[in-house]
Amino acid sequence: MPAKALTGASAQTIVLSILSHGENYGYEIVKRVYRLSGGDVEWSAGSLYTLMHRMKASGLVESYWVEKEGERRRRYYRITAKGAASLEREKQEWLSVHGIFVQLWGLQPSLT
Amino acid sequence: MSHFDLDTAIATWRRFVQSARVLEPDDIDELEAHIRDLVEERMATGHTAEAAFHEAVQQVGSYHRLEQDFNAVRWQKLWSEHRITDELRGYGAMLGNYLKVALRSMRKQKLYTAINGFGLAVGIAVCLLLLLFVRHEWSYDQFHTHKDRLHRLTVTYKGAEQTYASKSAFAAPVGPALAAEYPEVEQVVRIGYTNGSIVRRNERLLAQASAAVDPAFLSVFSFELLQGDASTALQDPSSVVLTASTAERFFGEADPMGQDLLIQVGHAFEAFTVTGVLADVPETSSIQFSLLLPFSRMSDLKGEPVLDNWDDSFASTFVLVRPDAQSAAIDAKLPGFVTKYYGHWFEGFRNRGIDGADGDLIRYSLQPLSEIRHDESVEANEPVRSPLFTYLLMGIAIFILFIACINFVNLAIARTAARTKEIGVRKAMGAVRQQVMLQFWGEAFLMSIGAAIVGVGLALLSLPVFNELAEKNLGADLLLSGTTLWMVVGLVLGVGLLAGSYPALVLSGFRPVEVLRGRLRPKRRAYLGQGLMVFQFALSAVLIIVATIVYQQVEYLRGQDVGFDTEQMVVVPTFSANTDTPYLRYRDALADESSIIAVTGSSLPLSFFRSRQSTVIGDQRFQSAVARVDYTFIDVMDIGLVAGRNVSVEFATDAESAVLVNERFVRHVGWTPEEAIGQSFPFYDNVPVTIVGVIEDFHITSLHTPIEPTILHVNPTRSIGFVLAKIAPTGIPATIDLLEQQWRTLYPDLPFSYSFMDQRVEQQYAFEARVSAIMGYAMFLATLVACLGLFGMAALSVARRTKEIGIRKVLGASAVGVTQMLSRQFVVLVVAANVIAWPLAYWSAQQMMQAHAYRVAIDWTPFALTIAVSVVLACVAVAYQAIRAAVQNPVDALRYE
Repeated sequence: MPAKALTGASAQTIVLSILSHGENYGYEIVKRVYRLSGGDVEWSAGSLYTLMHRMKASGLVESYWVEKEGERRRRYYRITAKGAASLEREKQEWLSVHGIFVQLWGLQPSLT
Repeated sequence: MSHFDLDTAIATWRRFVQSARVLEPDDIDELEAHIRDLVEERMATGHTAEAAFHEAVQQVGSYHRLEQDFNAVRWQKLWSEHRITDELRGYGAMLGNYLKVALRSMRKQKLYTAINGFGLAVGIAVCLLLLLFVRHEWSYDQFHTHKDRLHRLTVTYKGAEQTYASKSAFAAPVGPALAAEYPEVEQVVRIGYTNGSIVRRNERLLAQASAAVDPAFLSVFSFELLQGDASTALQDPSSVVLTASTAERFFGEADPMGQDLLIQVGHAFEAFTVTGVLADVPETSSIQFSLLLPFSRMSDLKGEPVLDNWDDSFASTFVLVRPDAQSAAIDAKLPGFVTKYYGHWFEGFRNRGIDGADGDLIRYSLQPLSEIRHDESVEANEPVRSPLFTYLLMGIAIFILFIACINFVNLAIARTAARTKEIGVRKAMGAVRQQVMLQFWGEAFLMSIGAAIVGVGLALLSLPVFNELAEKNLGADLLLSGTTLWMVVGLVLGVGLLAGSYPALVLSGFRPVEVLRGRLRPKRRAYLGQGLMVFQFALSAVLIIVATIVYQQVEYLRGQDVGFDTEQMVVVPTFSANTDTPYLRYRDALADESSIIAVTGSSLPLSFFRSRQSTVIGDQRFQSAVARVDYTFIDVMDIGLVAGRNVSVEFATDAESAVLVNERFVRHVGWTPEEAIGQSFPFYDNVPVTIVGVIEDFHITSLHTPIEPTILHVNPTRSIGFVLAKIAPTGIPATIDLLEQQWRTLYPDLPFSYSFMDQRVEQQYAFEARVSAIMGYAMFLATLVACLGLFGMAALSVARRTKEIGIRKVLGASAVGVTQMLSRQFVVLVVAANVIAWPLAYWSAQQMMQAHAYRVAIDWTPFALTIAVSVVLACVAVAYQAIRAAVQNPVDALRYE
């Protein structure tokens, strides 16, 4: 598990990134993160929904209820234009941090 | 275990979450969907539904950790969607539930509620009365607009052996000289109190408390002038200003302004014109009077020229400091003032063997107006009240309030066992600590609000008793005023916060799992409860011990022989300190009456005032009390002669040169009584007098001060201010009538009044008697409240041990044995409390007795008495519960549960 501070800092960007690939609901978002991290990162529902609340309040995402055939009623989240702009900005920030580490640790990506 | 139903479990979970009112229904739906997804996933991997559900709920997390985030978002939303009132209604419902639970718990525990409520009510009532008293006491002289700039001039004279005496009496020219010399002084007002002016209008003849004051008095002080002009009212030497009730006394409904009033000046009545009417002087004023005369008439009023006399100190001198100046600036210049006007006195001091720097011999200072009420160090014209009394009352109120609060805490602790389950359930259901705290504090506040209402009622009921005890005249309106309301609110908040803090802070911290599993066996709790109980009983033991000692002291003082006859002795003031006293004619007129056994006279009324004189014998200098008496004084007063003879008319020189001295005087000089006879020493105006007799010691003033060397000299023609008449024990009212008739016949111009000597003597101990009575009440209330608490504790302790008692009895314990077992613990605590109380009680009692020259010896009796009383009371409080438990059929106890 990454440090709590890192989880906190990265969570919003991760959620926005997932939602930028398409609308999704809470349970699935947690699962996606779990799978993407290879089982290292498992968010608790509590912290996820808190985050979703905050993002909704600041207008980065919007939610709506969907009832599909044969499935239970779920609340889906969708990224807003404001959320997309925020994601773009956050992406740049993370990439520059990433760039620093790559250079520092000599991890030049090789195409071979 | 086997009947787990997921839907039921989820429904239950939803109710918990809803009850917290943090999440919106939508949010809960979302969480539920999440849980269901998780459960399905876990069950797919082979977990049971129950295990999967618990893990899922765990995963969702304790929702209250989200509370803050959710709350911030939610309140915003509520506001924007105009649903705020719904929300508040929800909170109202929650508080309503708390209230319901609180009331239910109170009703279920009637005894507990009654004890707590009553104890707190008593505590609040006592505190309330006391706060009123303190407020009144501290409001003295605060009504003057210029109070911050007003000061009273005081002077401290150095005496023999590093002693100092402070006074606030000054010669008439001092004030004007100060005003003229220092620009920082805006105004100086002199007040010369007279011993009561005799005022007459038509048939009405009364002695009135009067004060001769400078014209600026009316503008410098803020006595409310109802009629007249403050700047001119006292300018004219024949003007008089009356208070409203004095005006009514002489003029009734008629307008007194411009009317004449006859006032005795010297030996004749003189007409004064009423130039102003003041509202009655507030009770909270140190300066008291019924009428004001111009200070310019002071010489006439005193019968000697004092206005230009720098050596006759009598006037209170008040200084109004300019707004832009500091009183310290004037203080710094006062030594220069003393040297300039009284420098020639320094020599006299040194001649009398008193050494020191000039500034140390005579020191002037300015005393802020706010201090004059409580500063006992200054011998002043204005009355002083010991602040000790105020502190004593404050201490008592705090003691009682403390004891009541401890009851609350203790009973709450004792009931912890019963309530831990409730707390456990509440917390398991999702209540956060803050909510539990809110609930407990809420209950404490509810209780203290109820207690405050009862307390105000009790205070109202006991106001008359309290007024009498405290010598105040506090009205019920004061108790129901706005300020008092705030005091009550303050007390409710204070008591609620204090009394509720233990349950709120400690009980709320329990971990629900431990509580419900019954793993909670906090040993610490018992110690705290017992510690508080010991503290409580120690406080009440201190009160009982001190009250007993104070009572013993009062009885001791009353039992002391004052040294002269006080029975059937009537004191009649002659209202004359001058020559040509009315005494002689009155004495002779009474001589033939059979109901009057004997009449004598004295310049002092005994029992109150004294006048002192410096006495020089050989190289010894000391102060003696001096009284001028009639020849028959020691015979009538039944004061024994130790050596020599009494003064007598048969010796022509006695009136000029004979004195009687007391044994203390003789001992002070180092003579035997026989040696003293025939000795001479310089007396008034250095005229030598001879000791013709030595008399037994008697108390010329109260027992608060030791008997001083005393000189009696005889001169019935001068300054006999008091007639002392020994009357027959039967037909006293008729004799008093006779005394009055004779007086009226002889002196129709002088008012008649009288008092009984034994009552006057008793009066000297009025303060101690009052303190004793107050301590008695305090002792009673404190012990009552503490015993109530003990009673409650015992009840709960017995309830907790019902099964134990049952088993003991089944195994053969006797009822007596069980009672003993239950009582022993409390008795041990009470005894421990007493032992702890001893040093504090001893110290307090000593402090209180310090003011007395004659003290009862503090022995072991009050301490033994107190321990006996507390143990008996504790046994009574516990025994009722213990016996009830002990005689119970053990089957009932064991079948229970």
